[in-house]
Amino acid sequence: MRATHKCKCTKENLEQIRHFVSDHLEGQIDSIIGEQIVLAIDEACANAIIHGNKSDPDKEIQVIISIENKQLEVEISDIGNNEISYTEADATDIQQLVAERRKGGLGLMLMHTIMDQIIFSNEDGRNICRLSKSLN
Amino acid sequence: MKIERTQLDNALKLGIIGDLDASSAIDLDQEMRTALDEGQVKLMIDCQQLDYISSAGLGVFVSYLQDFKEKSGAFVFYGMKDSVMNVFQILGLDQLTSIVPSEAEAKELLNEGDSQM
Repeated sequence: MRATHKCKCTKENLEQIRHFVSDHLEGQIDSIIGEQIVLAIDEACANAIIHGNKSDPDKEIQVIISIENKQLEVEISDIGNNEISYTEADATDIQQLVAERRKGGLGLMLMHTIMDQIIFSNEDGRNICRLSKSLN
Repeated sequence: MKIERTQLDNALKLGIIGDLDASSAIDLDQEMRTALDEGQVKLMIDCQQLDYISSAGLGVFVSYLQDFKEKSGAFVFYGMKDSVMNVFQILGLDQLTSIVPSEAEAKELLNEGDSQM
């Protein structure tokens, strides 16, 4: 299975991305795992839309999901000029976030917990986030 | 996403309806800020119609936990769907917050806090 979805870089479009992912995962994997995968992709797309493209409605984001040989691969790409820095969001301690009253930092924690691998790259002016997970 | 606000005798109830994601978390933030500014110390978060939560929504709750704690206040979540509870559990947030099945249990928990003060 392989499917592609494109939409403008607005936060309001996160819902349609979630529906796209859940529609294509339905029947392919366990529903709880599927919900977690939707969440991880939502987090990655929110990062790309908000931080990579400043929620610019003139920019586009593309999500490609594929399942082959029980391996899920997701590619989220945008044409953002900003390099996405994830160091600030790389919090590992939730108690630290509470004490510091921080709103950010949880997205990457969720992505790392849910997915097996996350790779960020910048290729030909596009920010690309690749997520993968074994469905065995 | 919609938030329904109900003032009870000794607590503020916020009912969250729909998806709490990066586009709607700002509304929750405004409600939480207003509650704090009003001097509310007890908050009941009705999650019965909360269909989805992402880090944006969780981040809002996390950012106010310390503020309520410092005012000797509390907030309790109730009626959470399994999919939402799963997200709290992934992050260990279920260990830092009170989550109960029903509104009655939420009220009881907040009243217990009163009797211990």
